[in-house]
Amino acid sequence: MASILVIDDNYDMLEMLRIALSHRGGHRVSLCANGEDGLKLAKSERPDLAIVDVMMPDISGYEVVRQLRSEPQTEDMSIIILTARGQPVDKIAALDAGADLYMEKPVKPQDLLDEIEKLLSTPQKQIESGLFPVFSLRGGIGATTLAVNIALLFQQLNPSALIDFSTNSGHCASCLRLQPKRHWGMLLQTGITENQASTIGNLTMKHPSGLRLLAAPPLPLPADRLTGAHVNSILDVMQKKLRFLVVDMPPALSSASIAILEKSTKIILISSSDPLSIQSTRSTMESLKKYHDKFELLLNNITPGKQVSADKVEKTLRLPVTAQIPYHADALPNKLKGMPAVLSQPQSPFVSTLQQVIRTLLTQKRKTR
Amino acid sequence: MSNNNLSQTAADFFSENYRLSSTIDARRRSLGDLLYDQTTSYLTVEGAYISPIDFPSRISGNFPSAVIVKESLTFALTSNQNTVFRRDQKYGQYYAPRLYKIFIALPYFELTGDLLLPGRTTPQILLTSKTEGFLTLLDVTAQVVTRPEITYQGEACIVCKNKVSFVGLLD
Repeated sequence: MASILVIDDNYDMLEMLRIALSHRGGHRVSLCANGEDGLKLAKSERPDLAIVDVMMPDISGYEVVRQLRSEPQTEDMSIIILTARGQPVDKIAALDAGADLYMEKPVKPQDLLDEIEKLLSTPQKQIESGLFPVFSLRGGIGATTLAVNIALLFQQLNPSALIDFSTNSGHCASCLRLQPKRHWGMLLQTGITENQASTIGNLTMKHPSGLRLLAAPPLPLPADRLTGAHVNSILDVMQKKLRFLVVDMPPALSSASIAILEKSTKIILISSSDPLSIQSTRSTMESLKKYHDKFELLLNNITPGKQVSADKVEKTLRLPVTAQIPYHADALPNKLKGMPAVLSQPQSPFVSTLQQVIRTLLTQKRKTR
Repeated sequence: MSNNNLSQTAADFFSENYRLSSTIDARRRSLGDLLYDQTTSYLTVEGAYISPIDFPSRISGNFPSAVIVKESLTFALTSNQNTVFRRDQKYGQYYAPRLYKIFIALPYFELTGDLLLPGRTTPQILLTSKTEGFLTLLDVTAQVVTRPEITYQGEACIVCKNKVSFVGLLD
């Protein structure tokens, strides 16, 4: 069963589609008789699919589709344009606006249901490799724990690495119960040689899960010691060898951070639901406007009890929450024992939410044509 | 497009620059009856949506009802043949009709389609001696002269004779 929004100004058509989609197709159907209300409903309900008429009095169906594609909450929605305008140019116009499918009225209910079935079962294009920095300008909200667990989940799919780019003696190694005998700080002492691949490769450590770790130096360094050039060299080499790289970012906007963000596939932005963290996330987004399309916001519940709703956070940040990570009581003991939840409690709600996050990270965002 | 009445017929009306998609409440008359009717120079349509011919995805205006000036119309296109025939074209013809494949040059458009004529009438007779203001074509493709990639197609079409500059017989 899918949730389907129908936007059409013809009440007979709305009723016909409601009967066909809900009674015959078993879908959950919302109806809307004009484009403005349809857009509002699409943003609040986020249906799996929208069926949009073209000729409507307030805004045309083409404009509705363009606006759906331009909003982060609705850009990935499947859209069918169903119209009485049956010219070849109308089909081109519908697809150019961003619709997945064009169908001409009158339509047979079974044909429409078949097309919906096909559209919803078509997998979106998957990302096969990438760089995923985990970033928050506010410390202490679980970014490292999330980075470690996300990296382990990537490793379950393909050879992956976790890079701890913290300049304040990062904790990724201890989270994985590894001794950071080798770390990227050694590159700064010796300089990056011509034989970068072997130099950098030798600095990584292998976790029993197979995950490679490039650890942070055990002693704090001035933030500017790690430059954008260093980061670029390290990432270039590691990206050639491994499919997925997860970076635990330093909580600062240094040249190194910018170099990481520049190369990133998607940016995992972490916020907790406390006002200070939300404020900090908002200012991060302001400073990094150019990367807005790459953000995947994780709302990490680091305290038990009632939390601020994702809707409120979305309204404040004007960014959809990719996932709300449930409070995980064992997060700290796991960290101290060096046994991340992905390995010690793979059935926990915390891990299943992160698995959902991985699926989202691996799905390519749709671009408006 | 609102279409609450089952007697309504959907059609696209083309002038030199605009395409108007709408419905007509034809009641017991066809689009052909209404356009060929020489007692009125206008045709009222409902639920009119206007787009520039060379920019089909832009709907520049929509109106609950609109009036079309028949002599300014270049052609009207529908996806249903039955809606374009006049009553006398549908029933009681003594001679079997013939189809002539023709090309018509219109302002901004090139049309190709089949001209349906009663047995003894030829396209020449139709164009030179008949007083009707329109021609009926079947299986029509209309191509925009300046943007050949833009085409409009329909099962049937009614063309304003005053707008025709050239007619080519393809058979």
